[in-house]
Amino acid sequence: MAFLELLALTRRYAGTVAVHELSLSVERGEFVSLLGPSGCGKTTTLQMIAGFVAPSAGTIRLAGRDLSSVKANARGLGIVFQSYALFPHMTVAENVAFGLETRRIARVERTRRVARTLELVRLDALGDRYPAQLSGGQRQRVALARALVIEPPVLLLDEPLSNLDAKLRDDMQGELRRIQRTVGTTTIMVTHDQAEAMALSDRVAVMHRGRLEQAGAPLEVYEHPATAFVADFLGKTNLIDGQANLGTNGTATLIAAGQRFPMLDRPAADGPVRVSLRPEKIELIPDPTAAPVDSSAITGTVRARTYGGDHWLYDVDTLLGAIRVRCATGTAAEGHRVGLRWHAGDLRIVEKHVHG
Amino acid sequence: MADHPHRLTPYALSGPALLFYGLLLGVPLLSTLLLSLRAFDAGEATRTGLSLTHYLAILSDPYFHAIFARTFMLSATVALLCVLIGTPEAYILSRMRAPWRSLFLIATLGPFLISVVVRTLGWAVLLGGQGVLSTVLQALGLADGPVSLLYTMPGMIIALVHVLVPFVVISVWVSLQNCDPDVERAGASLGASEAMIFRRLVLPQIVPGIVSGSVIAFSLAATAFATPSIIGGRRLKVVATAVYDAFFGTLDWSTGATLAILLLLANLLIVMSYHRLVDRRHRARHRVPTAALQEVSP
Repeated sequence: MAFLELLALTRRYAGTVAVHELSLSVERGEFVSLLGPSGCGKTTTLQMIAGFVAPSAGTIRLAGRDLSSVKANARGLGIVFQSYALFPHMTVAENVAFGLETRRIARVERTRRVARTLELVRLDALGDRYPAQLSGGQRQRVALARALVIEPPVLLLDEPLSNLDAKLRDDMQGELRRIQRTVGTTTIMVTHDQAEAMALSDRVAVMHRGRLEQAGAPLEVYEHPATAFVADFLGKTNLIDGQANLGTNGTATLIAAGQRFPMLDRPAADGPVRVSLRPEKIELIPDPTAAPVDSSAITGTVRARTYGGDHWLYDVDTLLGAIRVRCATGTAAEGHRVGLRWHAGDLRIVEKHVHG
Repeated sequence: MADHPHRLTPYALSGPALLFYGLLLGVPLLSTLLLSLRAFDAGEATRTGLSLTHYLAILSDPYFHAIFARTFMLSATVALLCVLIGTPEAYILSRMRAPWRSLFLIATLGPFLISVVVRTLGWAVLLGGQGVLSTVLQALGLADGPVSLLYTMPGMIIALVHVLVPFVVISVWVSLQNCDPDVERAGASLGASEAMIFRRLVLPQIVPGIVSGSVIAFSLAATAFATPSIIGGRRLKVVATAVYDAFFGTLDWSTGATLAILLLLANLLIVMSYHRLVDRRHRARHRVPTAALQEVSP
């Protein structure tokens, strides 16, 4: 049995469903991210686990024990709030010690554990400061230390890095991963940042409109998106509507805009499908006439290109519609005719029975 | 319009308000001060120079000692009760849901909607020997005869607390609005009970609100006139009613003016030292050394 289990968890608010029958199992020591756009129900899910919001239906089990009737202050979970919610009238050390005081842990032991945790988050020199005297990154570490010092079975992180600027966020991301690996606490993180979720998590659970769309390892979710939403939300993608045609010898073909493209992904039957093709999987051929004739290739006109430092983004108008291509060099300019080519394995079916 | 407003523009703009306050507050205050310093000759009542005669007379008179002591005892008790009632009231109000919250807030501000005389006379009706309180106590068998709180300290305290509690509620309310609601949740997640969350996490953050609320309640109670004169009457004189009596009863204007100035000074002294005392304990944690703002890189 999994360590933390969410079973058909549902939360309804007057007229709307914030979370709909969400089921997710988290193993001990696992780092799972709840990822989705704002309003997808990820924060509500976190608050139900924390005990701040009561589920309308469904169960939460921690190590086999039903948490439904356990109040927030008896769950013993460590929580890092988006605003950090530090106690402004207490020093860093007092903030961290608070959870030990409520557990009536003796002073000597308390001091020892506070010192050890502050060392873990590399704040051992700042124990006497007040939160108002700290920078954003330091406050974030205090919040983390305060949640970890009680040695919680589960650590809940609510958008922990969203209040930091880009450079600091990168540093803290590394810190967060190091600390989580060190203590090995089972962690659930809520985030809307797909790069952050993929960099930190063992598994990513993508949510959309209160439902769990797909849960899996970052590589699996990115390479094999289960739905069009997941494909589009995790990085950028091109979605192509077409007709799937099963071949006799185990192959499949996508028919779109009157052209046939071989596909390794096989649907169960013939019919309309929506296919995802990642921009970085497409090869851009500056001179289409020089390219070998290939059934996996189309031609188009460059409508716009954007320089992104380490890459170029192209918008190419083709018979399949506007196709976005990401490549390392910017050899073709606006208005040029170019060829586009990809591997048959890069076409991923994300929706079957597409109409219209 | 010019890019840079004329140097005198700010003065011109604040002129009407300055004039208003200068004429209606500064001038009377100054003439009261002069009145209190005028050496008073009983025979002629003419100005014969400035002296501290009246101050020495009042400061050495046990009769006035009693009045000042009563005034500040009354104000301190009223301020304390306002804090004890107003702080939990503000906390509960802040945790109420949408429609109820505004309804109860308006109810809290109710005393301000009624004229001070009507409100105080209302208390006189309730607290008098034939009043509601007396009747109820007798009916319940808790009192043998009529009970009157008129012309008593408890009566004055009740009436003053009634009208001054809203000041504490409002200022604590403002402090509570500045608190991060997640702090309470953080406390709960760390295992704190409701009581511990309030005592250890919420209360210390709203101390500034409690301080300013109690200062307002204290100084308004110390200078209150209508309530002490109607509920307290002649039997329980406070400084404000003594000033009135000196001006309109004994026509001893200099004594009245001196009492008024002494009340102002005592009030200022108490309020300022109280503020300084609490402020010193709170300032340390809001000091921000610039070095601390530099991130210690991991």
